[in-house]
Amino acid sequence: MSDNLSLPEERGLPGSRLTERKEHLLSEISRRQEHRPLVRRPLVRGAALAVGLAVVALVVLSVVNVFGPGGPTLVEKAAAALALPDANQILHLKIRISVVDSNGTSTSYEEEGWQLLSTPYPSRTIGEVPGKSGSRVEMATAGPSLELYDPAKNTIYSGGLQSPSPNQEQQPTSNGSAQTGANGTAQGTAAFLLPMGYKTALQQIVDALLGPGKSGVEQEVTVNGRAVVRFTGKDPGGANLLYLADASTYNPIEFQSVETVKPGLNASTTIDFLTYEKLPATAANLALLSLAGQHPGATVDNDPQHFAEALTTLVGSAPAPSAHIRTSKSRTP
Amino acid sequence: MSDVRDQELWNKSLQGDADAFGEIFERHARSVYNYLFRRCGDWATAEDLTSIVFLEAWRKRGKVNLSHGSALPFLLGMATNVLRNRRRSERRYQSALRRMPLAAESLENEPDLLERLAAEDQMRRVLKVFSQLPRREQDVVSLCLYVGLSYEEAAAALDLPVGTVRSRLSRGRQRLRELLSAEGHNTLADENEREGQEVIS
Repeated sequence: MSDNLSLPEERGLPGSRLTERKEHLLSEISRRQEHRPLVRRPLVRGAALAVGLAVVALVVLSVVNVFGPGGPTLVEKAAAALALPDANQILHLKIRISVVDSNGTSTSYEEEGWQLLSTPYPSRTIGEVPGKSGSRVEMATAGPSLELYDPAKNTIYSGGLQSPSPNQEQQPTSNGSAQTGANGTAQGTAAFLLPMGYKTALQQIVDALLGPGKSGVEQEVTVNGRAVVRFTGKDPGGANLLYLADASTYNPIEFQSVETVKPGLNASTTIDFLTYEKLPATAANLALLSLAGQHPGATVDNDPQHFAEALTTLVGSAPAPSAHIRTSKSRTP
Repeated sequence: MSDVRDQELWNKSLQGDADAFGEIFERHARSVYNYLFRRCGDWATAEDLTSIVFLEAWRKRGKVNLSHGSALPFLLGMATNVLRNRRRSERRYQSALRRMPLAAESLENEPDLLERLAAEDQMRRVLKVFSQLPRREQDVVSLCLYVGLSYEEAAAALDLPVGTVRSRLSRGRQRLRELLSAEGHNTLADENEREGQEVIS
């Protein structure tokens, strides 16, 4: 290591990249201005699931209040239950995701996660690898790093600062496997990434629920002896949406998106909320957010290369659901 | 740089004038790009994050009044937020970044490639020490010492009281000296203190 830790010189973007980036920016702005949707597109689709729980997409298009005017509507109550303002609480979710893809193949896997509802929103997830029943992968955020726990070695691997090669794309693969960059660091992550997006995803659902111009049907029904509020509607791409919330707490129970692939064949994604609760941020509960808190005796390995290798070993190239929940008409937010 | 001009461009952007916003990009992209590089240590990541910063700035442009008439403190504050919520930001703009054409891989297109790689190596060594500071001190130290923002500009960028900026900067610099001393390096702390004294008077 050099004795001189002075900062490197400032540089401009190389070559024509400044112009390209500006053109890209203006293109994206134009795109957003042209396609400004009344309703946020649904987040749940097979490809989105491949990048983890942030795609809990509960776009509910209901505005019909069958219970008369005055007071908050059902949709407002359901939205309020999903709203997660910053608070000294921990969101605890356990969900089962069941997907039927466009070929009729079914996949089901569970994930459990905890996320602090205040900045910097640390989180931890335990999830099954899609297609690997009984598998268990545990990950967490730690500041700017991603951490992965290997129970066989009782080791916590920290991904550190990711350094994707400019030669390679920076997205997770469609099959959910981890990519490694030219320098060995992990690019993209597995299909069941950390639930860093819980708060964001559910907020987007709230935004979609409260947005103007939606239509749908809501009603109070009994499902398996439980009083639930049922919302149905369609997304901009034409998929049928169903959302069930508990009639007393308005906590989420189930979300489903169904798209007709061809007569007699539907592709669908169903998310069942097995657990949805907010825990106080006590010291014991905060330990739920970190791998070190859960595995105090574990070795900590900060080598990004080891992290990438462990990710590949534990996640591998598991097939991810490929259901096409959205049509080509779906829009980019 | 004409601060009045930034304000005019910003006002036009508020009316939906994308070209005006494009001029703001041309004016400040380099500063944002280098700030992000000095926080993450990778040019390619800094480039993508720069795009994200400006896309976010466009999205949120109606919610901010430019402090001091310049868009740079706001943009750097946005960059700090993007870094803080990097994975969420990257997911939000994943599709947009996919539509960005990849750079042609040629040394002819990037004659200073070796120097850039050396800069990345150098920056990672700096970050190895710098990242040991608490995050909130990293934000203040980098804005004031890397970029040279004044206390007031950094306070505006981070939406903090000026006094908080001062105290975090003071603690951050002290901690940095201790860390560097422990590592046997004091050049960075001395250089930045001198720079800081020029900027923050």
